[in-house]
Amino acid sequence: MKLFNLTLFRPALITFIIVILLNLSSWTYADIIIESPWVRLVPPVSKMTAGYLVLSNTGKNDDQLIGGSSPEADSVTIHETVSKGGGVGMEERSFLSIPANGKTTLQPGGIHLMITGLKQPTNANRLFPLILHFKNSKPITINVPMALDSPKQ
Amino acid sequence: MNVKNNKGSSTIKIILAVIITSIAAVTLYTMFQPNISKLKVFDSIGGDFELPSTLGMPGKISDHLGKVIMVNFGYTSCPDICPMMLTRMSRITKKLNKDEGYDNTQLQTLFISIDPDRDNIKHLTEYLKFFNPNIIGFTGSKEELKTVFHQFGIYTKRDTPKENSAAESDSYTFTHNDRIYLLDKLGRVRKLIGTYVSDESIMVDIIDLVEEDL
Repeated sequence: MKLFNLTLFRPALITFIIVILLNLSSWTYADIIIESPWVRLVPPVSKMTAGYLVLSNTGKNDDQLIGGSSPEADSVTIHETVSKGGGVGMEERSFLSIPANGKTTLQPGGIHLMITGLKQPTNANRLFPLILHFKNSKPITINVPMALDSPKQ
Repeated sequence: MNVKNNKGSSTIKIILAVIITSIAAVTLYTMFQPNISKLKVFDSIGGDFELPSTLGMPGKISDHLGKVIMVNFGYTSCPDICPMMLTRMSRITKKLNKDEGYDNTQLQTLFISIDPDRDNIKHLTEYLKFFNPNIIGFTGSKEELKTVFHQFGIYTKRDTPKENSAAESDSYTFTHNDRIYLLDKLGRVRKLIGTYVSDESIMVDIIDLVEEDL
């Protein structure tokens, strides 16, 4: 009886653990998975910050990030820090491709979400609400931790 | 036999004396030889300036002679690179304080705004103290800043926003040089540090310059 129960529950238990682990590390919606999101903590006088994350496309079709929005900011746009003319500057991107079975990384010094018109100062004890818009997938809403530096540092 | 032995021992004594004297000479020579960093001096970049500062009075590079200085140019409405560089300079300052005991008598960070239209002294003070209260910020008139940019070989250009951009017109960005200038205790530029150089390598250069005899 005991043995029977264990055999029956093992697959269910394993599935349960996998689901929990997946939910801890990422927010899943349709084919797009968002991993390691963070928004940069900036001085309270600053009305501008940046958001970083990894977009994974587990689906069979390419998708595009076409922008973002937040109830806590006036605008969320896709920007890339690029080297040009002997310096670094920023260029706005109207979309960002996320290839099927591929990953696109937004990171400091590269592609990032430029968040302007902050309605309240960034704060490490709060989460930043962010809505991401895609060409094919439905919008994804995430609550993002705020940090001074990349969590990897 | 006795004589032979004596002769042998005096030869050994002489050899020993020569060896000891040589070692002592080399040791003394090394001890009194000034410790000079291998980092070359950039003669054509840098130099002193005087600009309004977050200390509430005009500040100069020469106010900090005797310290190793990190100089960085940027602007406070910069969402990605500038806070990244300020965070990194603060992180390095903290690590060197912890590991080497360096404080603001040995190490100084200076941040010069390239955006005088939006960065006034009050705003710059509030902005910089978030990263490290010891960072001194500078701004000035466009003309004053232009001279300093020229001294340091700083390129700045306002980015043209994309048409119909969602970003408001007052959140414009700049293309500019984000490198850190490492200055020695005499205020001379000794290293230009790019965006992707590791903290560890920057710390090695700073220690080198702090330990340097000038």
